[in-house]
Amino acid sequence: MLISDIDLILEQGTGSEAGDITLGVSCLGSAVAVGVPNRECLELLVPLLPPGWKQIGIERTSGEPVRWQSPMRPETTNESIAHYLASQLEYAIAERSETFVFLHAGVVVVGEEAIILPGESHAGKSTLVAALVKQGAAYFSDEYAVISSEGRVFPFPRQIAMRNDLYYPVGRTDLSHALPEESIVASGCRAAMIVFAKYVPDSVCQLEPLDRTSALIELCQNTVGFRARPDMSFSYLDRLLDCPRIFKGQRGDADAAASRILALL
Amino acid sequence: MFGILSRKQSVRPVARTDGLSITLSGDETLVYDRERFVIRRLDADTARVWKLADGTRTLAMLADDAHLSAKAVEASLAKLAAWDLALVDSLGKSFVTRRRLIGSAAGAVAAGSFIARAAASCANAGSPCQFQITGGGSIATGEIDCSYGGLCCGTVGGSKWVAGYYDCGTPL
Repeated sequence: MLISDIDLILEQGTGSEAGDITLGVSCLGSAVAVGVPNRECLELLVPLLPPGWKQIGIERTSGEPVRWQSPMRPETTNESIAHYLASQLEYAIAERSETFVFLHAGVVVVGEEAIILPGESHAGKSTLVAALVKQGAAYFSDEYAVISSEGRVFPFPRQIAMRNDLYYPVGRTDLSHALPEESIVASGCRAAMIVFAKYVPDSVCQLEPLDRTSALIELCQNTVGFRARPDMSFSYLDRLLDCPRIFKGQRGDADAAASRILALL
Repeated sequence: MFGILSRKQSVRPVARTDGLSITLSGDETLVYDRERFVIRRLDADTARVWKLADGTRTLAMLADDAHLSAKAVEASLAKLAAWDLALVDSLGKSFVTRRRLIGSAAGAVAAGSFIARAAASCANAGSPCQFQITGGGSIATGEIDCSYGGLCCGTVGGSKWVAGYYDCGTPL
């Protein structure tokens, strides 16, 4: 991010509340304000914003702005604040979208179809996604599957964060080179398979077919903002479930699980 | 014919419809309770009873129209009541209420010091917990509602009412 880009953002209009620089962000059907404590933090945050984001006037945003609340650690740095704000902003976008339903899920693409791996944060989605990409799948997302009204899956790519602590990545892997071709990114794709694989250390990968109704309940549990939009979520997720293969089980080693999942396709 | 409801042949159950989001999934029905933040999974029989319970049908009529046995209707209604998919009679009074189900257990707890067990079948989302409370010469068994907190079957402690959590629905 060049400084001149930050200047442009500031010129286009930001607000100031409680001493923050407040930026309006529009992305995937959401309009969210984010309060950044200083310019350096803004410079660090902007590259972390979701792909396709656009700056909008703060007056066009809805809901409470995403803000840096309180010191999480004594050694808090602008970098860690930027990562925190990026993560919270992503969640706010997911929760408030009026256009898409956001699932907590990793997503990879094989051919022109998606494999969806629902799971809460810190459930090992990123590791499994990385393993699948290593074995030839294209990368779509390691945090959210973005579902349209037709049940198509859209990407939510970002630098994969392998974490060992909340909001503090121990390393980031840029998988943008592993995105599928642009036409698939733009139009989304159908789901070929949904796998609910719980990480159990040292376990063997065991996956069994799951019935559609149970899968729908599981998906609802992994849907951000389900409480706010249950009818929309039911409708979108039901269409997503037109995919032919749904499995549930446990997995240990990510590479072995990735092989097993690809073999089930 | 209708077991615990046999004294209430005039009852005309009414299914609750407010505060719910509903979707069909195969021959099952998923009901999201927007007030209690749980998803209930209704099997085909229970869903049929629920849809027919519009306050115009007696229990016998429900059995006829749903093509179910009296026992099946009773089981469905008890389940619906326990889940607060509230069934009320034509006078607007609950006929099988959660309070009644809880009350039977609470009475057992209040009667003495109890060793309480909540034998749970929590793995099945949408299924009510089976519970059993023993001790002090009383035993209370039955199904209990899951609306009070969303935790799976904890232990039962005694105060005013059974203070354990028995949620076998899917909290959201």
